[in-house]
Amino acid sequence: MFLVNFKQFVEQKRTIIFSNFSVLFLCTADFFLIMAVVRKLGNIKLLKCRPSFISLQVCHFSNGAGTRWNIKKSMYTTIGLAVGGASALLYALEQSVKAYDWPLHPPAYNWSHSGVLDAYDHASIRRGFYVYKNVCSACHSLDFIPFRRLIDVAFTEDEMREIAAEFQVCIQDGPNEDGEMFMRPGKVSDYIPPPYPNEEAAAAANNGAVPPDLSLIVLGREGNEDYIFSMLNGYTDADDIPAGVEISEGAHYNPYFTGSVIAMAPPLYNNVIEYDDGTPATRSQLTKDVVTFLSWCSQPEMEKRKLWLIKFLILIDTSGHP
Amino acid sequence: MIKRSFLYQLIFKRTGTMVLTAVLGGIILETAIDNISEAIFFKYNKGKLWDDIKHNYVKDV
Repeated sequence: MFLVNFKQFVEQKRTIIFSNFSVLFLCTADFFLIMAVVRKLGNIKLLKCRPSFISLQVCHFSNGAGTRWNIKKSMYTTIGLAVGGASALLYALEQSVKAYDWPLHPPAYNWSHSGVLDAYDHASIRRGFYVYKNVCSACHSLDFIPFRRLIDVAFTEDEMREIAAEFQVCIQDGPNEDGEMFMRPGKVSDYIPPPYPNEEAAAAANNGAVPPDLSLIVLGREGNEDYIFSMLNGYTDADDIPAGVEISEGAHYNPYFTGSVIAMAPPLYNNVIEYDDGTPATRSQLTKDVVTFLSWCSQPEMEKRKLWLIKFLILIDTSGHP
Repeated sequence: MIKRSFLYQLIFKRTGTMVLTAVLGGIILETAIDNISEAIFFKYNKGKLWDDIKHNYVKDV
């Protein structure tokens, strides 16, 4: 169990590094570009011979420093090439054949939040929370998300109070005056209560397979949102299972899942819940919404990060001669 | 040159005015950059953010 957790942990870190890496690379490239442009413009203006200032010619000064400038220039070129080469290598390693395992790789979908400056679709986060609450939360925990974090993201404070109070049976508190633990309605300050008290209970209730925690699942799986979406929609009917594949009792065939045999039953069907904003609850709509919600759970700071990218670029572009 | 000496006389000559300029300049610059980038971000993502869908769910007081 420790090994599995560790593997998942490494996978998460790797994905985080790579998703931030592209932004970092963009910033570096932008910085060098601005620097090159400014230097070029500055040179043209400064090195132009103007008869009125013969004694103060800048080219007089820069004549002596010509070799130094050349060294500097070649240094910048080298740095640029090194950064470019290293990024190309890392990108190539990341995008390599990936032939180490046999799952079906998901297609890349165009998520509403996948652009460099795109925020989450908050109406979708709201619908996705309903899907989680009514379907996923029967087996999957969401340990790192407190109710309060959804306030002003997808719910108002009053709505969240009501929703938290519905989780009554699961929240234990105490001890009271008699020294006993007791149940109480949930509050907005509580973390979303898990369906099972521990992993053993979860395994015992699910035929030996532990349903993973969903807080970081989008970052923790190869393919991220695309994988979760494809996997939830990728269950194969009993008639279409490839010849030679043995499916035991209580297991299901899903080509996107590593090993292709998954213990989770297909969780989403058309109209399994009803949306309060009138969106038709088809299976793909439900899946898209819950994936958006889980993506938000994995990186609730994403919008702030993208806002900071704009700030950073403005600051670098206006900071003048480097 | 004239402009530079004007700035020097006005600001950089005394430590007090220079520090004041730096602090005020920092505050103004930061506020400006914050407002500009937020305007860009909100305009780019119009219709998707919580502020855009909030009115559907807030009960009238």
